[in-house]
Amino acid sequence: MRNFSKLLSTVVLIGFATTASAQLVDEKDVTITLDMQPVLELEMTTPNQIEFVFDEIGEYQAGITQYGATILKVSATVNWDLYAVGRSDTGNRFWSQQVSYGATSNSVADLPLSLLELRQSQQNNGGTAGTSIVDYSSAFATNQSGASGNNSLFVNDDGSGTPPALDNKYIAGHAGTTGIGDTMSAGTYLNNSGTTSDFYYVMDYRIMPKLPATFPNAFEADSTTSESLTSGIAATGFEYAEGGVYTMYVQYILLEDQ
Amino acid sequence: MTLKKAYYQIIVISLLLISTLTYSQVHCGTVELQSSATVDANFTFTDFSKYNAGITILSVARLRVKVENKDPIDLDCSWKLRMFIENNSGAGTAADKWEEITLYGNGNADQPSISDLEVRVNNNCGTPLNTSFRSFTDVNDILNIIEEMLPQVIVPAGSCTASGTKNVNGPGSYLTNYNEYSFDVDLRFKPGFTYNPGVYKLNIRFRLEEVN
Repeated sequence: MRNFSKLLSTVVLIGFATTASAQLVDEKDVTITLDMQPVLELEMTTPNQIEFVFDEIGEYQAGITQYGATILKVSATVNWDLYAVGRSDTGNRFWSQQVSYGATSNSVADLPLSLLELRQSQQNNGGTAGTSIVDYSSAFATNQSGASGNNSLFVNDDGSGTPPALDNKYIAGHAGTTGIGDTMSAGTYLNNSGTTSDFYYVMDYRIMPKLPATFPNAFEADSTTSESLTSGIAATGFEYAEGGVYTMYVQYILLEDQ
Repeated sequence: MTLKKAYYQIIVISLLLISTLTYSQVHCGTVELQSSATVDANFTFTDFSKYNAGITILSVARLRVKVENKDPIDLDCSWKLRMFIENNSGAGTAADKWEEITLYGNGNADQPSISDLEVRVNNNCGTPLNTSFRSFTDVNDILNIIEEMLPQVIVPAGSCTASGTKNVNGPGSYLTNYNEYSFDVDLRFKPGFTYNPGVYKLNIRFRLEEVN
């Protein structure tokens, strides 16, 4: 009799379970595809040419500074890095000489690209992974304060646009993709506190040749090894810049970092 | 009681249950949910303003309901309409994320969340109890459009003429009461800047069901 009761209970339960799903049903589907393409936008306000004309002694001594010559605005949907790299038509690490005002036995025409100094308005808040000077936020060193590599432009030895290494300078973010101290978060200057945000940089430029024109603030990418004309990067014995017209360009590169 | 009698009783009870299954739980003659051919909605984010403002697709689908009563009429015939979300969770997708199809980067950031997708279902009479944009928390979440009321309340077709009447759920058809038995589906997605770029998929299933 006990077995009979169990059997009866089971049948009743199955019956309930079956009837619970017996109502009429119809279904339709909407399939949604989400395509999120990475967007990196670097908006730059700058003159086509920034000219440094040294025709007075004072300008050689104090240098010429172009304040706020370039404004960089970043919008990115992914984590990002921003860096500047010096380049020229020569395809190496020197300025391109367009006109010579006369070579002498002591002049050198190979001016290092790193003689150009940059200063950014906002410090790099994503560059703690860097092992040397991480950005260009330091104030320009004065004539009296001695040589400084704090603001010398990053340049690759081969003149390429390859990203800086850990001991080189970035404007924002840094080398590596660990996400810790080497990246800037996605966002836009449009809704991030305007001129004080991490998405908005005002860039100043300076060249200080000094006298004789040896460019003491030219430093290699590591910011510690001098590239001034007396440091021996050019032919030995040539110690000051050859008068002339030189050109180069600064390439600002915004890249995904994630 | 002999064994033979016991078996006889079991057979009788089973037949009774089958009978119940066949008749007692079906109050309506037919329920039918129609829409234009298979619907695909594409959210393509290619510029910054779209990421910032999001994309809204209005009337991505138009659902049409047709529920016929039985003959003779069953006074208990009513229906409900609900939404389910699917993300191919069987393939390992987390319950609250979109299904990943492909990535455009190394994937170090977060996958997009299901809760960022917003759905709004409404009709000309505003019969759904909730006509604003809503979102699913995860694949276990179910959103009601026309709800099953407890205790059961059947709002007949044509009630829409009384302003503000909600949850029309009696037998009827979009052919005779279009404003109550057709539903527009709107979608909105605003990703922000925290997710991995890539291609993802979700499926929303609309289920029209007779109420027992």
